[in-house]
Amino acid sequence: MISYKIHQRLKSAMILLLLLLSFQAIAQNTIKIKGSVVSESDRSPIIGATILVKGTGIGTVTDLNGEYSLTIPETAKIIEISYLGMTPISIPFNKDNINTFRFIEMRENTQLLSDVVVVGFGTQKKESVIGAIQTIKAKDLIVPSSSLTTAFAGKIAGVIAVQRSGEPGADGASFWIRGISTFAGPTNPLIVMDGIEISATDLNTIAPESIESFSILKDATATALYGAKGANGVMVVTTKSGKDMDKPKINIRMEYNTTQPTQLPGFADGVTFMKLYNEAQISRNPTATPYYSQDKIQGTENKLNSYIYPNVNWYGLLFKNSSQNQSANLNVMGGSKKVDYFINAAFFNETGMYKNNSLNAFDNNNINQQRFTFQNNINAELTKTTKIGLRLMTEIRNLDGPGETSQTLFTKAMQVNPVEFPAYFPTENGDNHIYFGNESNYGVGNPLAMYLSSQKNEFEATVLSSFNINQKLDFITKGLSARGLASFQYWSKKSSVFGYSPFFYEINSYDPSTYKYNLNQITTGTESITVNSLNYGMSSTINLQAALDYERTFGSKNNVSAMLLYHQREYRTPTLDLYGNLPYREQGLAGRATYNYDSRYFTEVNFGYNGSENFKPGMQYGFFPSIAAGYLISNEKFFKPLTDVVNLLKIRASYGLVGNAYTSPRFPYITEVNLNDAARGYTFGDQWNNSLNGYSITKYGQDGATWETGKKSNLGLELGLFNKLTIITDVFQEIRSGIFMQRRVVPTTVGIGSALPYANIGVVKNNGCDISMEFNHSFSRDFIISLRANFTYAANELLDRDEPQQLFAYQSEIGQPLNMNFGLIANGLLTKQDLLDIASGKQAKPTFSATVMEGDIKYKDLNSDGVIDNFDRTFFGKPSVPQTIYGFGGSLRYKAFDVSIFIQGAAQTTLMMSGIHPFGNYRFQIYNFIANDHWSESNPNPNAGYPRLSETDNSNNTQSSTFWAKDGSFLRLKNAEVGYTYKFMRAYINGSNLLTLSNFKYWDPEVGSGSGIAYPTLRVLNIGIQMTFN
Amino acid sequence: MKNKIITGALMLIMCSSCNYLDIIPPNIATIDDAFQNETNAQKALYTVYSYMPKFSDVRQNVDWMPTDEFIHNGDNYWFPSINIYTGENSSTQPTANFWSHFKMWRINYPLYEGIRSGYLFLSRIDDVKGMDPAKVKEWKAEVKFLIAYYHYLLLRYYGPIVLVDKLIPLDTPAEELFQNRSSYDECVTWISSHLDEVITDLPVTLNPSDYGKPTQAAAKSIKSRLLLYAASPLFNGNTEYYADFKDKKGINLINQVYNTEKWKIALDAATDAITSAQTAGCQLYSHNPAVTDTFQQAVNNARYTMVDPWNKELVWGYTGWNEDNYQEDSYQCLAAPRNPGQGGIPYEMLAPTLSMASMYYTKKGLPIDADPDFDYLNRFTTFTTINGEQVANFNLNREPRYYASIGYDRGNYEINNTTIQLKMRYKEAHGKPQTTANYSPSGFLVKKGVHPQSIFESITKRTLTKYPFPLVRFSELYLNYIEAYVEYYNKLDGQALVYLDALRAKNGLPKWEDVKNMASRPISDREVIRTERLIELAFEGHHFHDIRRWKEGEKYFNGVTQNLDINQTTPAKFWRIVNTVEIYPRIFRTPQDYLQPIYAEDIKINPNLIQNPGY
Repeated sequence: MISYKIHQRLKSAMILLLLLLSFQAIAQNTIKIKGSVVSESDRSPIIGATILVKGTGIGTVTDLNGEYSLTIPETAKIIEISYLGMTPISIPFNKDNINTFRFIEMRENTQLLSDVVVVGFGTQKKESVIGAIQTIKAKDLIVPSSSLTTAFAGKIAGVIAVQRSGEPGADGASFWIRGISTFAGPTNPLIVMDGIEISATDLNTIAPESIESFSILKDATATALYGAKGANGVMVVTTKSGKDMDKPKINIRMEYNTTQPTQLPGFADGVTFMKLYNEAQISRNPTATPYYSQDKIQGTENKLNSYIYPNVNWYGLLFKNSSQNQSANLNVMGGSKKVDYFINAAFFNETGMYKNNSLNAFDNNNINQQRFTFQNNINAELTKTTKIGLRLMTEIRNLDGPGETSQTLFTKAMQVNPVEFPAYFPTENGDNHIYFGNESNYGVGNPLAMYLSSQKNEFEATVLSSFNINQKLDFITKGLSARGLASFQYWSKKSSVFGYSPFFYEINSYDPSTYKYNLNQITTGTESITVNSLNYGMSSTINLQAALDYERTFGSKNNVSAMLLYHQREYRTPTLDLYGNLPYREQGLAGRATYNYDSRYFTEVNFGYNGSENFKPGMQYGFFPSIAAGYLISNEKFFKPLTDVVNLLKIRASYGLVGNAYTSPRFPYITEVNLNDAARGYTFGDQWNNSLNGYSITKYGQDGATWETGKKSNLGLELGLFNKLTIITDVFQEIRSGIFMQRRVVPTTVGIGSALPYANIGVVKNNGCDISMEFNHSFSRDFIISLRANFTYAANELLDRDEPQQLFAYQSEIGQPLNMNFGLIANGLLTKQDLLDIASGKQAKPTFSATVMEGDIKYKDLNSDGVIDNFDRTFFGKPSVPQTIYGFGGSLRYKAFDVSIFIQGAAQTTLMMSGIHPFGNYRFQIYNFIANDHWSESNPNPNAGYPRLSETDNSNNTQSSTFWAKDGSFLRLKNAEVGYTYKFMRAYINGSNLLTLSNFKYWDPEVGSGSGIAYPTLRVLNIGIQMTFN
Repeated sequence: MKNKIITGALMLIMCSSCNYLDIIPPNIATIDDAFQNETNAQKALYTVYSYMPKFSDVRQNVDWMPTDEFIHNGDNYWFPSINIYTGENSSTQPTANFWSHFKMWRINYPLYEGIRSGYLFLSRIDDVKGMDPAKVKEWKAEVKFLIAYYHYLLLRYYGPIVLVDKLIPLDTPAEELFQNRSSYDECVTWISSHLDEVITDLPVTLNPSDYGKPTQAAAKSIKSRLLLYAASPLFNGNTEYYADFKDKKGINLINQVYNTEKWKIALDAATDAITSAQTAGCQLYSHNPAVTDTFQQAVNNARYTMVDPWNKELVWGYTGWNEDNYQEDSYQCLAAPRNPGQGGIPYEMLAPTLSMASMYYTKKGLPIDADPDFDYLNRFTTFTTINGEQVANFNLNREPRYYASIGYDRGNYEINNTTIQLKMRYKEAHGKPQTTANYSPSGFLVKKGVHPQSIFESITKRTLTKYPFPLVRFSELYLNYIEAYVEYYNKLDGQALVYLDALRAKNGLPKWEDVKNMASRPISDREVIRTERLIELAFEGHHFHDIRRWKEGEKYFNGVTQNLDINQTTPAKFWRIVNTVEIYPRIFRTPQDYLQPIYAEDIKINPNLIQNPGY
């Protein structure tokens, strides 16, 4: 508010002054320049920017549309443009480059003192922030994806993010602030939008254009206010508001993109599959009759008949190689002195990779998702001291798609072998249904039938509205104000699946000369469509907040501020379970007091005093304080001579406690009893007719149960060089203790079984650092370059988890990171000599399968007891969540062209392959990499990538072991963009996930552990146009 | 001023929402509700019973399958307990877990949870309002019995165990919480005295609606078996296996000095149990209606003893699991002969071994290799034509129990309320088929335990005739007595001989003294009493323990199984004996397979627990 007033006054004064000056210049030989000045970040017009001919008094200021017109002497050399909060620009002038003045972009000066940063429940001046807070520009969050969180990886120092799937509606990234510090409950941060807690799903739907600011609160001083909810860090999003402007400003962005899977696992063709299946059989049992006859193999190879010798590309039948998406965003910002508004409407239309099929009973079974997000923020000044506002966000999402989950369809399409049965037979007898192929004894089914026979419709709506009021209380004491907020959120979802049940046929017999076949109906389906399932979900949230703010400067150098805030929240979601149906409630106070002396020495105290309904009355509230101190050395007098080189030098440190009140199950203090448990019943009687159910204690209550507490410490350094390069470095450590968990070390003879009591026992240490660097330089007016890099490293270590005393020290998880791999240590493949040594007892005997053969995996006998068993498992590799995420990139603007690229990487992570083994119980497909590189009698390569094949899973080889552990780190060209600006329009082409470098070759490494069979991550090629109208 | 406003605002806020966080409704279910009235207390009583192992579930009864009696044509999915005889039982993957809640493959009976539920019941039952004191007393006795019985079951599988004598509070200090195993003898004394404590409060007989509950006779019978086991070689001065089996203080968990008097204690307990059972009306079974042919009468006696519901032999029958409901888990569904031309139930997947079929006596009541009238050498190669079919002489002139228990090629099988002739050769009605995997791997079928009136005609015509699984049968008490007597007095005479001959008479065999001297080789008293026990209690889950306590594991539970050549179609070739290398070879490791492993997780949780030797 204060800075707003200053703006207004300054502006009026400047206009007056410059008008006077410009009168003097009329006599000279002049030339007229005119154009507009806009903000580089959002292309909004800058009102009141000063245009000045250097060394003269000639100048003007931009009007309410950001436009100016100025008559200058032909002899003018340099034109200077400046505006409060923006980096001043100097543009050389000559008669031929008048056009360059038509459109001038100004960049926000992040080092300017008046800059404001969003912090917990409020804002602070940037220079006085001494908590570890990272802000990101809304512009950097605009990527060709409908999920905001996909933009996080590598762009925000302190955030670890990975995107595991590209499925429309399910493609949000998983993200953690400074990694993971607990093994219980949620590990993801608290997300707050305009003061209200929202979910990660809500966050994904926010249109980046409606974001005013985005802050990541990392250390205790920034998060302590959130008390029992802030331990995993906090993301604070503020949406835009309108301004007092003459004409509304309209901004339109439209995009069209096409997506492709980045990298899918490949599978063998039908003939290779059959040969390898036979090889697997013979390899284990030389006397076995090959399952696939020579006739079948040759018939398939020669494509004799596609029904008798099927060779189905299931994946190709179900999926296409690309999908198309459209999005549009429109926003309008405007207002007058008394009322202002911001309106944003975003629309996404996304389609999936499913292929249309002419057989289909439904018009189109591909995923098709439409999403509308509307944001409407209105503020009104009721009196000189009273302001009210209403913010409204609604989201509507409609999704049509196959009834089966994508996971199922991808799995089946990739697993079912090509030669088992044809996808379908030509319909006979004038029937009205599809003759799907199948086999009576094949337990997996026909992927095409699964895809085609049902359709799903999902409809989801969210309304989030908040009302706020601000009242200045200067009449009580100067600098005091009060505010209040009430909000309501309602979410509902409907999901229905409808379809028919398919008819399945198999070939009964055929004539080998004519290939005429007789069909046998295996399953009688239905021809008409019925509703298979219908599900509803809903939830409501009510928030109330009231706060007092105080801010004042005493004696020009003593700056004091304080805040005290009360908040309460209730969340409800109806379920059939008693405890789940009770409201989730929290209540608390948050307070902050800051003091700085002369903008050099800073101190700050924060606290949260929170209560949760989850704990026993009397145990419900907890106190979470934090303290911080900072020293802005570059504001010292003695530092002045250095400021040309080091324009910013700040050190800061903080320490505090933050909690995590989530417990699973809820109400840990309550002993839960099931008084009607059939599993604990019994029967008596000569006719077995005297039966009663019994009771069971499903949970033993723990009176003292409470939240886990993180002790966070942080040390930060901010360095600005040459007014061009900014480096912010933070190192942190957190000890999360009292992690809520079920006891593990209770002797089983006590007899409470698996209903072990809960307790606050676990301890995890997490430390690391995050670094962000930004470099901006203008070589000339036409040539601007900016570079940035982010680096996040977070490594955790389990210190206590009530671990039973391991019989072998190497099996202890204490001291290991969370999400580690546990298994056997593979030592290559068994050789003939190894087998002799096993037989003679010289080498440990494998026990996971009845027999082992040459070419099976060899394991280390860690406890040297002569057998390979569960006691030989240990921890190895790196965690499944990367410990390091980094990103770097830059943008370059030359005249009307701009180019930017962004490269992102993840490192120190291990990917465990599992579920990849060929054939299984139903002759599943074989991956190309196994087909090409496995141990076999003909190629007894002891370093082969896969052991000796087996018909069904060989339990020696399928054990979790280092054999299946792969380095999951990768480096990818995450985004690249080329744009061209013409007047108020900018057209651009960009792409994401364009190129990936990784040691792991079998599927997209970001998909992570498992079999790689999932809706893949996508490569996106996008064209867009952006227009700004005033 | 400022402070006043803040304070005022705070007061207002805090007071207006004092109860904002207290949302738990007052009437949620608590453990008090489980003992609120008699109805709920009765459910709590049934809860204590619910920890009884499912004895009648063939796939979950550990005692039943993994022995010398059966051979299975099914993997360890069908018969999870067979890992016990394949030498694969380990502390990291115990085949069965009776100790704790950790889930094993299929067999998991957390008996210590049952014990806790018992103590919880005892601590609460006196406070239940409006209960008849007599009923309280009766229920308490049942629960106390179950506490002792669950300890007994643990002892039976694990040897020395942790004795739990009270409801252990969850805030017990660590030094008391992490209990040691008590020595085997301490455990026996503890269980025995706890049984003594409740016997007089248990009923002598039961109302039919309470059938399945323990009686005085049941308690005395369990005690008799407990003490018989305690006197047996495995646990009585076993220096051979257990010299180093000590707790952390160095105390031997299994005594190292043989004590003959333990047999005397067992003998007295058997006497007591017999008297008690007789008081309750128990006696040796005799099938009704009686037939004049004494041999056939004996066959009927043996055929129906196990399966005739609630007959007089039954001292304690198990009712907790109803065979009707789970047909894959039903012994009868798995054992009965296939319906020709039909898949599915009955599966015919488990069969008696050839060695079990050979154990039955001749009709004279002598072992087949000791009866001079039985052509032992040519038993598989000579045939007799009966009704135009060739029957191997192995099957002829055998004792009535053989015909009541074993189905053989061209023999009869009483099923579907009728009698069918078994055709066991390759591709025959009940023999190994060309395609499906369900067939008898030995060439024999088991009749014992399959009720002749069970109907398996088709999927729609299928009715099991249920029977309570015999936990204690009157015959066992005689056998307990005989064994204790012979081991103590070192001779077979007096009351022991009376009881032995009573059993032989029931089964249509001449008195032992009358045939003993006809034997072609000397037969020791110990052999005759042990063989009698193995035959009489075969297929009822006793071999598992009897052979172990006699330290005969390697003899009975080890090595390659011999079977008939089921891939043959002619009698001569079918009756050839082949060594079957089963999917699951029989490996008995001494000493470890004598006792079950405690799951490694339990040892990790309580480092005071000593693992059983060999694991």
